[in-house]
Amino acid sequence: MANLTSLPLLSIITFLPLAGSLLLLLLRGDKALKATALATALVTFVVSLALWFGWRAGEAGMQFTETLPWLPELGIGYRLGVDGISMPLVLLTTFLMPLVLLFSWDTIRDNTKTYLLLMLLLETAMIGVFAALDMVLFFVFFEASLIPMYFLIGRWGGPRRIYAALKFFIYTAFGSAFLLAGILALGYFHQQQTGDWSFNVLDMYTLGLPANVQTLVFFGFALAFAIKVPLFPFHTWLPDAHVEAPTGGSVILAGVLLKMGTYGFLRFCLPLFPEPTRRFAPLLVALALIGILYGALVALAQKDVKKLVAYSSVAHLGFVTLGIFALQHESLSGSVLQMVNHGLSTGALFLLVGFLYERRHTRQLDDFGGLWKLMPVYAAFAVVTFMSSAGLPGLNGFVGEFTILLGAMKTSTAYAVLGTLGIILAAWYLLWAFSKIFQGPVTNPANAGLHDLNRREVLIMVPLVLLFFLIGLFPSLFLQKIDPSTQAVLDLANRPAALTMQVEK
Amino acid sequence: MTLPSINFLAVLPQTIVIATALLVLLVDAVTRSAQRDHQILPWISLLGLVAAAAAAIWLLRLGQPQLFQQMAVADGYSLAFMLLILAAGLLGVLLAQSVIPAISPQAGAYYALLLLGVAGMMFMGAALDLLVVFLALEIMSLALYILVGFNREERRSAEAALKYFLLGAFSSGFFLFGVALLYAVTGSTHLPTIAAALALSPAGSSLYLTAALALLIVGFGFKVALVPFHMWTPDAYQGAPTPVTAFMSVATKAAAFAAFLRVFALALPAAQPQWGMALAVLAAFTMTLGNLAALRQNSMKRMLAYSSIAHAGYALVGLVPASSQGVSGVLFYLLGYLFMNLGAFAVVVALERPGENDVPSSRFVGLAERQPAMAAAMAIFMFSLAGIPPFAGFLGKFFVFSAAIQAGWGWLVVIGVLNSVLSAFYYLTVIVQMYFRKANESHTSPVLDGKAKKSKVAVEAAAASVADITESVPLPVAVVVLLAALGTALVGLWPSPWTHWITQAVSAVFG
Repeated sequence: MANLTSLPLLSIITFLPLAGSLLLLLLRGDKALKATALATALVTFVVSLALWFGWRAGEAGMQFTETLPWLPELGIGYRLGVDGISMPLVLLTTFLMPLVLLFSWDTIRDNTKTYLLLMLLLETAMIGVFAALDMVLFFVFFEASLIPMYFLIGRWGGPRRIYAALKFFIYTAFGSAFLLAGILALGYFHQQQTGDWSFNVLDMYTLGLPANVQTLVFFGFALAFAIKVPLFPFHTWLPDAHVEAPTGGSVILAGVLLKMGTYGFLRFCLPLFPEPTRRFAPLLVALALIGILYGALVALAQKDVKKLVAYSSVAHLGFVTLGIFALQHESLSGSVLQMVNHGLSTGALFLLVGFLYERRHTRQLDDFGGLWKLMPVYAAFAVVTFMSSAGLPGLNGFVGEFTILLGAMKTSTAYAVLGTLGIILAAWYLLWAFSKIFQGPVTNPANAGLHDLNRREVLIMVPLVLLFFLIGLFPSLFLQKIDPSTQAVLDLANRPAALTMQVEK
Repeated sequence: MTLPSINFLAVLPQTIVIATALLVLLVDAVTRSAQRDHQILPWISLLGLVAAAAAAIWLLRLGQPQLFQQMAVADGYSLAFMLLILAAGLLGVLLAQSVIPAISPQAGAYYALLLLGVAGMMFMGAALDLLVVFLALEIMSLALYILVGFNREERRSAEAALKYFLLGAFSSGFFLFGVALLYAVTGSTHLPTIAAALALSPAGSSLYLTAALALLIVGFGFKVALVPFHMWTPDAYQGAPTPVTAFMSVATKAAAFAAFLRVFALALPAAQPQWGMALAVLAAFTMTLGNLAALRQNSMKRMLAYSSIAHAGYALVGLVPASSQGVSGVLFYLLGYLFMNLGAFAVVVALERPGENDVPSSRFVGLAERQPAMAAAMAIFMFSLAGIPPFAGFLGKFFVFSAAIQAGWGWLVVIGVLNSVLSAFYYLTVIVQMYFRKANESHTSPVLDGKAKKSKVAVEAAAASVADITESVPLPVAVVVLLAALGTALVGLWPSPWTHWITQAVSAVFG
């Protein structure tokens, strides 16, 4: 295995989907296209498993690093690497993509080629975001991921797709503008202090930024990521995007794209701007808590299942943000794990909604009822998924939420109490939705002919459910890889102010 | 007294272009009776441009700046701009090939004027003396005034030419007056001498200097289309035959910036405290108003005209700090702009129907289904113009903004990045039309700005819309679109060879 480390493994994982999408350009025939796309995603996933099995446990730093010059005049490099925070997210991406493509196998009939091509391009951009160690490279992938998603929503979406796609794009681009300005400012300060331009994230960690600059740039970054997460009150694009997006797009959007925001907090805000992070952590926690409670309450009021799941995402990502800005080791690790958990369980929820929508072309809760008797297999998967999302012990969601609350408790009891209230509300809206769909008599005659999940659909759900249990029962498998890196981030966030006060003229 | 030894090598590329222009006129005159449809003329033009580019590359390889009598110079900086302008000329000739013979029997004049314009533009970057700048400016402008009005059948074209000419002549006057005042202050029109004179005497308080700077800014501001000197741009861009618009929107801007940068960053850096803020404010207004106006356009050419005004604003941000990095940034920006903007206009050329000189934005509806490759190229241009990575437009902005932030112009950078978001609205609209709207949702009647066209044209257009599905694009136009799309992607994804070359060339000149 010695030569495994000499391969540019991360580059291969990042650009395999891109290569696959180029291959698609040469092919004809829906079947060949779908098979090639799926094979590409599967191979990417298998290759990405090498990150997991080749992981040097106990290390906090970056692994599988690669460096190439890209734009040396400006200090921009092609730098890749993953640590315990980004590695699980890369795996989450490569894991979800084959499932999404499998879901799209029969459901995308219009312009299959372009759809598959965009999905694979999106995968490259998403992996790139998590693997990039250069801020400009990060930004390039961060923004580039907008393009395929914009097309996916705008082209294959619901009736208000054009509005939703534009709102998604502009909202995110607006945040990114401040991110870009902040990145430029950091590059400038690096140049001031060392004489060279650099956008290497790891170089930036050692930079001593004046406090007022830290605050300003912190808010630039935080705004961009808060929109992406999305934190209350920047969340309004999310329900629109989710409701209008095709199922595959929703799964990726909730599963991976939203994590770019919380990942950004962890990778940039905490380690780069320790002083404002500590000072404004209560503000962000407050927004996160509002998101948790508000998202849950609004979810309770929904008539459309997909909208309900969308608002539940606001609440769940509020949890992740709470864990990050509680600034405790447990809660940070819990947040990273919860990012993965949310990707899996909300991805699964969107898939379940998608299965139903494909059959009935409606997502209104009132149109359903009593499906348990009609679709027992579907109902069984739904039970597990709803429970996973609600945080039932033994399943993945519990571990994440519990560790987050544990850390939040250390910082402030109020955080933990309000967070727990959110969990109760989550159980409420999930069980309420579940009973509306599955329990009671079959009232709507249109549902009578519903057939249960077919083999392809079962094949999609099985890996997800297995992972719910795996993470729920053996969380230490994951946490031991995450822990050292979150500790390192926390140490950086707890840097004394004195270290960051050096201002050179 | 001995005869001065003149180094003609320094102006070799320009000479080749001018000689080609004359050759085109000659061949045109000789073959006119033969009625051979002037097919040979574009080829001669292309050959001449390629030869000039080869000469420029050869001079670049020499490494040594070649001086032409203290008047013009072939250094890395001017050669880089020359290559940029020659590339624009090449693409402009290719675009014209299918359009110009249809609107005018005088194709020979067209190519000759375009080449002369290119020669003038090449001198803009090479000029070391303000008088040469003025001469180059006039050569360039005179050629363009005629080219804008080249379609004599079209009233809009004539109107555009007249407007361009009147305002252009006016601004030349401003420029010349600025040169005179600067001469009064420094006693010279030679750029390095001016720089030395200003560096020696702290002329900060001189009212003459301030007036000279203001007048020069007006002159250049007109040529690069800065707000509030931009009024001619939408009309000229819309009225001119589209291949001319495509060419001038890129080449004129590059040439004007070449001289603008050389004069301000090389000759007047000592006065930067005086002009820096003025240019920063102009850049902010140009970006913002250009983008705001572009939001409201139905005509594709008008939208792209306002967009190109906004882009002049972005590029100007790089000049504000008067630094070597800023100048490199502008040059890199213009390189990306060459591909993305010329490409966008080339798509307009491709979508125009016989007799048309513009395309309503509704024409883009359903383009992704009719012409997927064309739509994909247009999407690349739009994303790049909006500054979305990984395309050239993003890195160009990044380069320019990094230079501005280095000099402490943080607020300008914030306005710049916010403008990128603003611009995304109208660029994305084009993508919405091409990809998200279905062809049957729209009315396909050829309405241009609500103005009824001549019935003959309308009948033709109606017939053409029936044959919409089989719209064929002339090969040269398709080649331009393809080259531009490749360039836009390549400069964005693999920038280091370009940036390396540009920063080397610029730092050799600007230190």
